[in-house]
Amino acid sequence: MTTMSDLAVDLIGEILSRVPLTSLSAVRCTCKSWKALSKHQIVGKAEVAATKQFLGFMVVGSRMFTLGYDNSNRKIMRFPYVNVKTACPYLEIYDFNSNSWRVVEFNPPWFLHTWGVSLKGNTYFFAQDLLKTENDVNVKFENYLLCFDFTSEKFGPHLPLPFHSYDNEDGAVTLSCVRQEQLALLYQNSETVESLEIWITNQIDPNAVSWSIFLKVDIEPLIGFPKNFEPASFFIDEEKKVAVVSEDEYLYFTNETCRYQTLYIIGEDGYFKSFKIRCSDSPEFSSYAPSLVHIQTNQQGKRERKRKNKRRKRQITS
Amino acid sequence: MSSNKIVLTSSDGESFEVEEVVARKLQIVGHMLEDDCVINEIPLQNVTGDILSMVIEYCKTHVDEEESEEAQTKLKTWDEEFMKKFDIKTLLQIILAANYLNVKGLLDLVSQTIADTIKDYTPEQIREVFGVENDYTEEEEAEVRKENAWAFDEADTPKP
Repeated sequence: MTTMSDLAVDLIGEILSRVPLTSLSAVRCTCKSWKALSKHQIVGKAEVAATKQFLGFMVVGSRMFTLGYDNSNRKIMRFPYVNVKTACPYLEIYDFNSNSWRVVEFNPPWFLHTWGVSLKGNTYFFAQDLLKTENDVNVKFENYLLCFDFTSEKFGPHLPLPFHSYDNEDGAVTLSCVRQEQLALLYQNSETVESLEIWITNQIDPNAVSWSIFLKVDIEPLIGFPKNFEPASFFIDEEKKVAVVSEDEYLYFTNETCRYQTLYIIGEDGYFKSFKIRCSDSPEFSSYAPSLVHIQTNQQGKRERKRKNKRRKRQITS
Repeated sequence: MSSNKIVLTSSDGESFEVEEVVARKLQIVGHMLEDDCVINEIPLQNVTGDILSMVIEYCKTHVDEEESEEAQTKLKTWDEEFMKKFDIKTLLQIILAANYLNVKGLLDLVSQTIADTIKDYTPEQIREVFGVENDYTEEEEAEVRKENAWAFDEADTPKP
């Protein structure tokens, strides 16, 4: 009888690469070679169908890497370490062509949210500058979006957010993306904390952006929705017009190795649902970018550091 | 293109007379024809007659791949119905044949069909249906399950 073991490894790989991500855990538990194959196949499938297959996936565990590409090359940006000697902030770019890390120095904004969102080969960040005031009593902030352009390897100009405010909106703004096409932004107005707004871009590139509202949810009447909600990560489903959001650092500790995170689904007309997932660390939703890179798993970053700091936000003061 | 007939012979001696355009859908045949244009009988060592007949049926249907949306939809429906005829064992034989004969479209179709089957299965079911041997130790399996636990069903999630 013909069984799967009669098939060449690349044929099995071809099949497994078509299994939806949500079913990969079963694949991995099947046997060792399937586990190895599924890990190899998960990133790097250039199928357009796969882009539609998934709106988002979760990265469990904190990290500070973003992916990007220019015309001919895939890159990873590691971000940012402050060089103590020169006190000049820098980021590192891993180039798949040269198979090495290189350092790029940059002029940082006053605040940069290090959890960026990769979209169409570039990465977008929430950033803030402190506006000088005459008496230093009324502190004002400029809140904006900043794009790291992987082609020029530079940050682009300040891009406007869909709202205008001089308040400190750190923590109120969370980014996500819709497939690999649009950026999504979750905003919780600091004055009217009862409402969550989700905006999506009509058009976006490193130099320009325009927005439209996707969803505005009044969270006050939602029974079971946490008070003083602090959004950590989210993704949206355009067709169902809902968003899945998770809360920052809000984990149920049941024992050392097993924790639970509550996720909330919110939608139009008071649609609300919550459910728990088991995870080892606070989850992050990420866009699934199947065509991005094929990761060579045998290469270890030489300067890989264990980062114990779980906060994703890092303030850089120049 | 001429309407030359080509005879394809399977490993168990079954012969199929097909039009050259259909035979060329099997890239292995296409390459042979380019190398030597006077062949009209081609032995195919690694595929049995019952499987070869399925591959030929696919190639006949896909011989004119029209670009119109209507034609594409029709083909897609045909593909789906075609795949429903086979059990896993046959699908695995077809994918082996499609790979050997180099029929890209059929290879994609069968891969997707098998992947769609896998997605609804538990690891135990996958092993049973596909004849995959579990080479994990108990501890290793528990570890892999734990690593991927977030993706499992929430049914076993205790209430806080």
